[in-house]
Amino acid sequence: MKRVLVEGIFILILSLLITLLFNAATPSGIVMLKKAFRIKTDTGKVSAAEHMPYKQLGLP
Amino acid sequence: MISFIFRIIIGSIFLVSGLAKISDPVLFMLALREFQLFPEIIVPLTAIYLPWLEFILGLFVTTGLLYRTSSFILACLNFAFMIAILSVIIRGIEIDCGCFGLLADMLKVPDAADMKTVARNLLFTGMSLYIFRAKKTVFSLESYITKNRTKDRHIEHGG
Repeated sequence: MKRVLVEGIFILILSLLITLLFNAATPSGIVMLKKAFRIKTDTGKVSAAEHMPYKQLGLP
Repeated sequence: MISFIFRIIIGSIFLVSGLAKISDPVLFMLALREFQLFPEIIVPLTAIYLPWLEFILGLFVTTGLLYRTSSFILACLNFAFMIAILSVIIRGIEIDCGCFGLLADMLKVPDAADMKTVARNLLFTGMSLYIFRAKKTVFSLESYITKNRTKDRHIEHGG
C-alpha cells in the first residue's frame, strides 16, 4: 500500500509537470494557463479569450 | 491474460480521450462548467490538468509501467466521474459529459450525461480495479524491467 501511495504521488506530480511544461511551451497553452491562474491582461479583464471559442483564436 | 486485455482496453480509451481533450481544452472547460459542481476558480485548472493525467495514466496502463498504481488512480477517477454524472442526472441538468472532447463530435458518438454513461463508468471502474488486484500480467514493461534486474543480480552473484 505504501508503494501505491509513493507511485501515486509520483504520477500526479509527473502529470502536473508535463501539463505546465506543455502549456508554457505552446501559445494556446499560455492562453489556458492565463485563464487557469487568472492572470489579468492590460485591459484589466481576466483574459481576452475568456468567452471566445478556442478555434476563433487562431491558435494551434 | 484477462488483465492484459483490460489494460489495453482501458489504457487506449484513456489515451484517446486524454488526447482529444488536450487538443481542445477550452471545449472541455466549457463542458466542466456545465456540470455546475466546481467553483469557477478550479474549472480552468482542472481543464488543463485532467486531460494530461488521463493521457499519462493511459500510457502507463497500456505499456504496463507502474500499471497497478495507474489503474488504481483510474478507478478512483472513473468513480468520481460516475458520481459527477449521477449528480447531474439527479439535478435534472441535460448536458454532454465531455468525456471524449472533440472526438464525440467528430465520430458522432453519443456523449450525453445519462445512465448509459454511468454504467460505462461503472464498467471502467470494475476493469481498473481488476487490473489493480491482478497478481500477474503479461507483456508489461514493469515485469520486463524486474526480470532483467533479477537476471543481472544473479550474474553479479555468480561471477
